[in-house]
Amino acid sequence: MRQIIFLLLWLLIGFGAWAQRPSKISIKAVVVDTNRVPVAFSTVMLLNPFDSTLANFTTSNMEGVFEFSNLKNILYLLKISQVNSLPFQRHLPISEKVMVNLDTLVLQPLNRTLLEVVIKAAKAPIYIKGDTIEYDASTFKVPPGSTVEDLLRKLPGIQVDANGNIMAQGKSVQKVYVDGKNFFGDDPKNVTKNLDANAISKVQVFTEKSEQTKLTGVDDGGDDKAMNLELKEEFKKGKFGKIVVAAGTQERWATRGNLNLFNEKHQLSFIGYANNINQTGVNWEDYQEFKGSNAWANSDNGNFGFSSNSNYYYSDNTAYNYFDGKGFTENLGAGTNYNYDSKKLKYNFSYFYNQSNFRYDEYLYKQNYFSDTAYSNTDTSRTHRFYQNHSASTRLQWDMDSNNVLIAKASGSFLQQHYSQLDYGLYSNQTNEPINGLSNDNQKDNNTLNFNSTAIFRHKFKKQGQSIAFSASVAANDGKVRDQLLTINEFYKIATATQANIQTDAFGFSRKYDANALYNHKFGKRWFGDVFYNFKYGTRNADNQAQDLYLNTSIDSLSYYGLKDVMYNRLGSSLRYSHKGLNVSAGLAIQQDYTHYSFLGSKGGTDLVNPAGKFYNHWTPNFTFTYQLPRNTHLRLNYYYTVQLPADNDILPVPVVSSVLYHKVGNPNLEPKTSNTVSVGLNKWNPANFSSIGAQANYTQEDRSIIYDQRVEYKDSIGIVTTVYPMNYKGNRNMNMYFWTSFPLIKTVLEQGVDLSGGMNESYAFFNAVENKTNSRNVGISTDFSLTLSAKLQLDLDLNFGLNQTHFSINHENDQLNNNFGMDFSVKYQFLEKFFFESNFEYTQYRSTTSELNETIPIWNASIRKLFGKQNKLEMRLAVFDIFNRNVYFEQYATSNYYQRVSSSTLARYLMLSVSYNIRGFSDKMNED
Amino acid sequence: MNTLLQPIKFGLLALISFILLTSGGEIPTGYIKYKRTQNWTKMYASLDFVSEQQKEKDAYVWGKRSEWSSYCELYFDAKKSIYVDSDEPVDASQTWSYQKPAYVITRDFEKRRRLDHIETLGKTYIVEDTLLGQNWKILNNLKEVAGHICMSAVWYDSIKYQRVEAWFALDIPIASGPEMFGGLPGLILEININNGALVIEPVVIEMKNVAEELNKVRKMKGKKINASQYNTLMSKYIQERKKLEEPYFWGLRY
Repeated sequence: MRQIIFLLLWLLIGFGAWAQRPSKISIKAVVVDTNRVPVAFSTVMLLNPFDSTLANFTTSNMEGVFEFSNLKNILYLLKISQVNSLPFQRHLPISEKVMVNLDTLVLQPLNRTLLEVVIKAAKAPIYIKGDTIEYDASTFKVPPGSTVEDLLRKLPGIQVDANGNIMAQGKSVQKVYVDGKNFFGDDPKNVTKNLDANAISKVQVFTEKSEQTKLTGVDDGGDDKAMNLELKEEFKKGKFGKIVVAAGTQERWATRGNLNLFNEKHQLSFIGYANNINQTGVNWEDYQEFKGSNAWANSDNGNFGFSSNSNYYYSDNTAYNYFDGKGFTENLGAGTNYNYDSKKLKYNFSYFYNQSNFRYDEYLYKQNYFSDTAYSNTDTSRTHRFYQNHSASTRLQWDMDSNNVLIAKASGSFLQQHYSQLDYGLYSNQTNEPINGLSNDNQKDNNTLNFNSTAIFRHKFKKQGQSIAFSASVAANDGKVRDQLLTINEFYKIATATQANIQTDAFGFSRKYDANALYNHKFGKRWFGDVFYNFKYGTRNADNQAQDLYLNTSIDSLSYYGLKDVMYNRLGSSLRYSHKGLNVSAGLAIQQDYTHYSFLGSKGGTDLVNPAGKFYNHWTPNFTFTYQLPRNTHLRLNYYYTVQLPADNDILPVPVVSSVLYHKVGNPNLEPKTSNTVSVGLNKWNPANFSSIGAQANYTQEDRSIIYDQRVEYKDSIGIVTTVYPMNYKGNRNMNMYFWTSFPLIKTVLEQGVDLSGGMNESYAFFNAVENKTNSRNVGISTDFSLTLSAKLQLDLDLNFGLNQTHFSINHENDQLNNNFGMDFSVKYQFLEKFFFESNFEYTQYRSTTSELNETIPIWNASIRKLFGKQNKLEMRLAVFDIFNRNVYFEQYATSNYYQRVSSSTLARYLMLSVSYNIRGFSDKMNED
Repeated sequence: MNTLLQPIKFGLLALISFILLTSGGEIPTGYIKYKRTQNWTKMYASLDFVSEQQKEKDAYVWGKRSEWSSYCELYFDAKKSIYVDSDEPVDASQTWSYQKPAYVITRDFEKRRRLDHIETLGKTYIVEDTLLGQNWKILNNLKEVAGHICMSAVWYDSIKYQRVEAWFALDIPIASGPEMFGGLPGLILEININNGALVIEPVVIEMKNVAEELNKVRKMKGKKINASQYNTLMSKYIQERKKLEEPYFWGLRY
């Protein structure tokens, strides 16, 4: 205020002297310290007095003299600053003379303690605001548990006497504020003796005007010193959360809520949901918020070295919504998550419980083709599945120092599941004449206990680019399954039926141990090398006992004991060249897989497979090339070699209990599947208009495939019986290509995207000893338009078309040609005050030219919602799902030697009203909902 | 936009160096390695179209894990300064090499010219114009940065919507600094943009002769534009992104 009055006065004087005022002036002065010694090299600045902007600057010379010349004759704020002095300030009025000689300007020394202790030793910035000097108290270390009083004793310029009375700059402190608020009454000692010093981030000392001064505006000189203590962010607590309750027609209901409490170091969250609208879990956004700072910390795995499956990553997904589209579900889930996050230590604990109850009816139609014949089957089933799952995980990351990191994590889950299915399958021959009907009543209960723990240690050596890492992990899985199957096979041709009632009890447990090491080395500036070693050992036990529930006797042909040991050793190395966006890496590893099986038909029986273990040795090369060209263009090429061991039940003669019409014969001589994969990709992004273009092609050629020889026999009194023999064969191959681009049609208003895809797959199989090559080709094209008419109105249109062609070399007559067409149109509109309208119309058409299928599914959803309250804390929403009442699940595909389509009824039209409350308020942005 | 930038008398620096020279003071010349740290959460938080809810959520989930650092180098003497991106990775275990778009900022105090070689928005430009400083506000705050007592100055960049806080050394009278910042009575040692969204701080300060680096001939290819054309280019792009409620910093250096 005083400054403004001054400025106004100057302005008045300025106007009065208008006539005589020169337009250009010079300013000159000598800068000295309090001992009258000239101050050399001080920074002299002329600022605009209204907003402190810099107008001109210079430096004082050895004699302390500075001079500005040819300056506009306006108001200036002269500021002089020098390393050992407090900043000097003086308002300069509009001059009446050309030469303004300010004579001698005296710089006050910067308080030694402020300079040496605060600025230099504690590295705290000081903020000088008028007569207040403030600095960051958190840089003054006090032992844990110290009070503010202990902290104040350490601070320069502040004295605390034996009774706790505080003196600042020689005056007594009468008031202590916390975050600018009056705390604990009037006695400052209440604060300083009770508050934890570690909670304080800043200490400000200032002169507080007396009540008299505040009232009259006239300075009575009776000013007190006051102190404000600013709390650290971490002691400022926060919370957010929301709750949604919804009810609708068709007895639909849903509720969902979450609560997050946090400060700088701790995050605690709770989440829960329950519904019968097919949301089996939470969506990714909610899950991310639930996991907080740990949402992205789980990706570290200890599998060092190049990975043949480069897309491998770990995610714990028990809490996600993963409804597959079939039937009706009731769901319930709840969890809690705790994160501790400090610079050295990061800790997470998470627990989640979820259960779901699925009920669905499904209809399946399948046509099987052979060289000389074909048959079809239809399956009608009703399934009920209930599961409940407890899962817990914990992770600790300890950054011991900048060179050593230790990560330890563990997770476990317990799953209980009940499954029951009633199924009727009708098998017919080429002329649609029924042959046999298989009815199954299947009840299955299983309990599975899972445990996994990993420790990873990384050390960086002093020499840059050299590091070593070790990891080890243990995993255990115990499972128990009771399977009851009542099966009736009716043979229609001569009207006979067979019936069986079988109960299988399966106990299995497996243990896995692995250990890995990795060493990285840097050669010069551009070359990097690594050596890695991976070891895995695993064992699996299985005990399957079957009994006939009619006869109450055990069934030896369906019972077995199995034991499996696997060992894996891999030693490899890779070398990389990295420079200016070019990264080329070539690596080679020797991989040894060892498997050993024991398989006994009954307890104490003879081993049915060769008890000697088998070693498989492979060299696995790996090559990657990526090149970042200028202007956001990326080029990449990858090659890798994969070895995949055969599945246990392809090797072992594991009896198939589930159907009398299907048998699988084990092949103990089966060799691993090996394949070569090459992929190339290019993408370019133009940030100027946000257009992008990309292309990718992948090709996989199997050196050695594992394929199946299916033999189909027509057996009197049973029907069509399939026996499957796994075998090694020459290469299957697969190729796919993608191309995508997106570009604005009208900048910032209309954008278009185009995607093209094409694929080809060749796979071999034998059917009744005749070689078949199934050749599938698919092409897809899709385009989408996004129209943003304003921040409050947005329209989106998506069109896609896919064509799928399948040739069977043994039976050209049944070659398949399927296509599907889809469209999705959506509108988002914000209107009136805080009203939002959202609607989308989705149309899907499935067609099969060969089987004259034409299935169309139109789905239309619409909703309107409004936010209430000043902070938008309340939201009400009315939504209609599937207005046409046409929702069903449908899929069709052709592969191997068959064509299949599946349909299932599911939740269709319902109306729902929901009320939501959000502690921090809902966003009133259209696109953030 | 030019009205925002006030011409600062860079010629005065020549005078200062003359004073230093005649008075036996050392000519300030040297090299600074800066660490440039971007905090994506704070960058998003500084966008005005992002709702408070989204900002809080980002801070909750990403808060401590969204920093990315790189090194930059500044070579300076009384006549000239050059600022470039360094190829050296901050984390030595990060061995992947990235192509950095051209970013060479040259300040010629003698001729009062700027010459910037910048690859941005899919094109490479050579920005050549008269040297203008930012319209700094000088505050009375002092702190030590890497052994130098610095004073703070603040400027609001109305094109990029950035509040820039600079700490300039009271004992190095060079009107330059990291990125395109300069025009203060001392060399800028530290920059803090939008409350920590971008922090540039010195890791190494060496007072030595860097004539070789300053006079090195650097290949420059690109479209020649002046400062106001460059500002228009940025401003237009930022406004387009803003209209779509998209951040501009995926396409432009923050």
